[in-house]
Amino acid sequence: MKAPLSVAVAIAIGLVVLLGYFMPFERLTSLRIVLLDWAVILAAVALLVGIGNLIYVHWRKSVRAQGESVHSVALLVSLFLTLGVVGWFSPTHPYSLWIFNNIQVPIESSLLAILAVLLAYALVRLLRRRMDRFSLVFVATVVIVLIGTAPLLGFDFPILGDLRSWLAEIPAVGGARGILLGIALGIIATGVRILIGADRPYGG
Amino acid sequence: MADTRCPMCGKVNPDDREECQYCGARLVPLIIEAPPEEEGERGSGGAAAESAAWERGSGGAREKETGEAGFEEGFSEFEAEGDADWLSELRGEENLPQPPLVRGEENPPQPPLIRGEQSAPQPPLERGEQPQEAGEELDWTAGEGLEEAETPDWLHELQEESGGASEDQAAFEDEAGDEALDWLEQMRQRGEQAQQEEIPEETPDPAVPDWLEQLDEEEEDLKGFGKPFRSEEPDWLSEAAGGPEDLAVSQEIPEWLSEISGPTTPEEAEPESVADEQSVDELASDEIVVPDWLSELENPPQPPLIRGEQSAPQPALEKGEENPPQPPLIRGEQSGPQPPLTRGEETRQPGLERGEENPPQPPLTRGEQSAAEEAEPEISRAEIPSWLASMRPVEDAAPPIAPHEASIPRVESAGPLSGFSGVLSPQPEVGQVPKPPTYSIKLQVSENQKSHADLLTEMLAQEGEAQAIPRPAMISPQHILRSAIALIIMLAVLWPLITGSQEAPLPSFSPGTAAVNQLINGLPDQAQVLLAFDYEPALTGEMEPAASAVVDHLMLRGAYLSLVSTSPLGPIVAERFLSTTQAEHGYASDSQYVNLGFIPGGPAGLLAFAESPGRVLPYTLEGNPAWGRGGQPALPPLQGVTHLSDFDLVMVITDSPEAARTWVEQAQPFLEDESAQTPLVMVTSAQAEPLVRPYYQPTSGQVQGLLSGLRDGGAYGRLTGSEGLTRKYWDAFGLGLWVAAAVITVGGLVNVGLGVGRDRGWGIRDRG
Amino acid sequence: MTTSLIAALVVLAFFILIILFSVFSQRLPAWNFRAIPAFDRLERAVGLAVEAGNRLHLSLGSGDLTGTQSAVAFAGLSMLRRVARATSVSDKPPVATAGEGALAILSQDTLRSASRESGVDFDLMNGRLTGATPFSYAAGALSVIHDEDVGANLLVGSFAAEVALINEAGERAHSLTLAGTDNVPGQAVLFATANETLIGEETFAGGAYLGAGPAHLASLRVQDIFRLGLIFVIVAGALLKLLGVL
Repeated sequence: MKAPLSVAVAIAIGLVVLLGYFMPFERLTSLRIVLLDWAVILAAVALLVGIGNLIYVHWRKSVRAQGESVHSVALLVSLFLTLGVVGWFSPTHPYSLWIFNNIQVPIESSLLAILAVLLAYALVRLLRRRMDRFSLVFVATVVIVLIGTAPLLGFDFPILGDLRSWLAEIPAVGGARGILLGIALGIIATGVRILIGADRPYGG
Repeated sequence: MADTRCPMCGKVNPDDREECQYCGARLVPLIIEAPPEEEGERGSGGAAAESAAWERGSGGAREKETGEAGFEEGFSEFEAEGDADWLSELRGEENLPQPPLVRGEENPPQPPLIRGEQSAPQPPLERGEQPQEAGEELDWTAGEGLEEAETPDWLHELQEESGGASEDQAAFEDEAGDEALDWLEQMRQRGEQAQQEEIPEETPDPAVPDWLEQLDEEEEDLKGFGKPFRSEEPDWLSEAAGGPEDLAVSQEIPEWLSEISGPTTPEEAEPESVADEQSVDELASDEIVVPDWLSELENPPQPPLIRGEQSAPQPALEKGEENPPQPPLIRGEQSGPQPPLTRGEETRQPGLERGEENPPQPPLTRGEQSAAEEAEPEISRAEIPSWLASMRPVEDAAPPIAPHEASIPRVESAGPLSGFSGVLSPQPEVGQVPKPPTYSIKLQVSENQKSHADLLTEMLAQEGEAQAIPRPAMISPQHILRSAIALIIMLAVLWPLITGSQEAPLPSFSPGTAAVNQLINGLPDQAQVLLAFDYEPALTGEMEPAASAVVDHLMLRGAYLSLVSTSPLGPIVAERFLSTTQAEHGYASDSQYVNLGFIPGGPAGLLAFAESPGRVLPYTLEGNPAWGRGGQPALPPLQGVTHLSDFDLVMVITDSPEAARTWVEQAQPFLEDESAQTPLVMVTSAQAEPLVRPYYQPTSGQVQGLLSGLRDGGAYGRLTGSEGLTRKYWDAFGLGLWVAAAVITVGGLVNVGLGVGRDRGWGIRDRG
Repeated sequence: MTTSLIAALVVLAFFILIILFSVFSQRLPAWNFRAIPAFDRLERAVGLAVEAGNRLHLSLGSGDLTGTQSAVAFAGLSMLRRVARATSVSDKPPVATAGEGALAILSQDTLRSASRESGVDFDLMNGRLTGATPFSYAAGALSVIHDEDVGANLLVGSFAAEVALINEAGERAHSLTLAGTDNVPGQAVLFATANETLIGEETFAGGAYLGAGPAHLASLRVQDIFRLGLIFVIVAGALLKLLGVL
């Protein structure tokens, strides 16, 4: 087994946190809280490391003039500029808010708006790409929810609203619960595999 | 040491070997010891005994019964024709060592046949004739004499094997004839003496009598020829030796003897029944019945081959050769001038079957014939007896024969050897190398192979060439479709915004919406509310209209707001929300509201915050202590708040069902205390409603109020009278949804039709 | 307390059964798992990428490692390990993108291990953080798909609606898109936009179908057992509730 120390540490900490959830021992609970605090700190540090990796990648792209390097240059410029403004002033300063309100939000909102068009286009092609009963049900459900959510100008169709509510509260909830239960089982199995050392996502 | 020639393969072997070292054939015939009671039976010599034994060993046993009968019948006929005194004399005293006879065989041992020889035709047994038992006196010999001396078997055979020129035969016979009278007389006398003796069974005598070995050396040996021959006296000799008066010894050469050298009539050559019982009187009459064997003396006699004799090289017998393997010669046997056969004497050939006439004899090959002629031209060639011929091995079992010998014997047509067959070709066959077939050195390539080779060559040539990548079309049908859909939806959404249409009525409130309204109405004045902004900036367009009415209601109630987020951009999103949607309320930071910032660590961090909020988020977003430290009081929104349950209301505004579930799972348990329970309200995106609604169900009770999407936000605004942002978007929102549904429906149907047409071959191509 | 006790028993049962099934996998009867076309296409895509000289793009999503979204991220890391080993000899090694810092570090560690095993050099650029938020992460992944000659996209992680952007980019680049997420709305989007979709816990079965080891097969078996148990409990509870017992 490669890197046995890392495997042993991962298994030990995982078991301590898990047991701390189920066993009402004060020391175990305290140890769990400490370990969780460490995990929170590590997650924040990991975010900084990720940002550093982002800078490194785009720096190399811009230096090598690899592919669309102008986008990497723009990213680096905007990153350092925003970092400078927010760090110099404050996150709630009007300058910071101006960058967020006028650059970040519109860009991400636009991406979400594009998503609407893409989803509509994907649904138009879905029946041609995958013609089966599940696709038909999927498309029909989408159409019913769409037309049952909002009235058409001045025309309101209560039956459509009721149908939409029934779909969203009964079949959708049931299906979602079933998927979530299966996902929960998969999450437990994955966690157990990590705790027993069979799955080592930490490399080594 | 003398060498022995193998009768099967013809190769020379040492004399002391019993089996051929080349083919494994026995060189020494098997001799089975005869029973004592039959020991008196004698044959014509050890050679005959061995011959008989060999013949039996090679298959003669199956013919033993009939062969013996035939032999004995022939023997009886021979005896009937007259017992040779000389044979009786040869038989002689009883003390003479008698060669053992083969068990059960009463016939006297016969000299072995020489290869290629053909036995004289044997008279078949007549019907009803019984083989003569051992020791049984022949009727015709009993008390009857033979007018003429008869040639012993061995002599007869030797005469038959001599082949060669008739002159030699005649000379031999003439010479033998003079002397035959003497020894015949002697034999007759001895025959009388041994008349009562039983002829023991013939047993093969491995020892060759000396007299046999000296046959060709001294002519004088013929006089006493009967002496060594005495051990193989046939029965009839002993019986016929009773009186000289029985044998009419004539100084004259018997007529049969004289005829030996001359041709016989065809009639005389016909085989006669050996079993014909002829009285001595009949035989003694002037009318002499020429036996078949005698009549066949017209056949060109062949000189016999004798073991050890350096005859002309015999080609090895090839497979399929007609000449069958011949029984080996008795050791020490020598061919030489043989005394003529007396009348009646016939070749005793065991194994003759009743009615069996001259069996087909394998013809001699040219080489054998010539070799035999060269070796012993003066000795008449003996004929292969029928029983021997029948035991001729099949070609498959025959020993391998040299290839060139298997060819059809070529009759020489020129030179001194013309007329002879089996002569070696003057041109060695080795030199006659056939011309090898001529093969073309040019590679024979078929059209199919050539096409494959060309294809492979082309493929290899293309391997080094860079294939041009086809550039995708700038404008494809997919681009057009995507652009059309976008244009249609954009027009549907922009049109109400441009026209300012607000005709679509706001939706009615749902139970969840009403519950939230009731909860907020029940808050005390200056309530402390915890707001969690856990949605992404991309969804501000939906979440701000959905939550604006609720937060406005809170602010109208004068509630203190504490802002937190589990998303890194949450604090900024919260700031934007308050500055854009709630600006008219003029809430001041750290006064009416406090922004505590980002809770790191996801669920674990939220759990920690729920357990001890002040420990996880001690400062505000500006860096001011929020919970009071060093004697400073906490900020107004957090005064008196130490636990999560100290808040009057917790509201989570999120677009992610996971975030909503995390708050429910991690924070909601900490909202209950002994006195009261802090309500938890969710404002979610429409996409998270199905996953969050179960928490709102009355059976669950974990979430006390739920608003989902723009629909419930508009309904709450309609309820509180602050429609605001929702009213502005509602018409565009509705029209956009309807147009999107229409586009999906129409486009889906069209694509289905196109797909069906493609599958059914309506000429529709899939352009991707 | 009851809820905690039940949860503890479930986790303990998982522990015991997975260990037992892993140890005695050879003695147990064969457990036939249904075919998942997505993994079949993945295997072919890996081979095609190596043959054509393309690279594989594996995205781990923006899930938080400290929460429940970490499980699907770990599943993605497991598949990344298998894919990296398979394509390490190709001209262009696979590239991994993530929307969370810790995931980006783990993806680099996985690629480094695969490179070390294959004896090739590791490039730090092969594992990267493309954005701190989901949509910025999706936007950064678009540049990877368009600029770095990607032959196939493997999206296994926590994705929301932003995954539609990545799928659209993959379709424009004529590359295969195979995706799986634990986010329910994201699954709906994937069903409409991806070439091959992993619904529900199929995402967590990737290791077993790619031959990651007996423990993965054992975990699938345990999941099947518990799923049957849950079905029984739900149906029984519904009937009892209907009958008024509960």
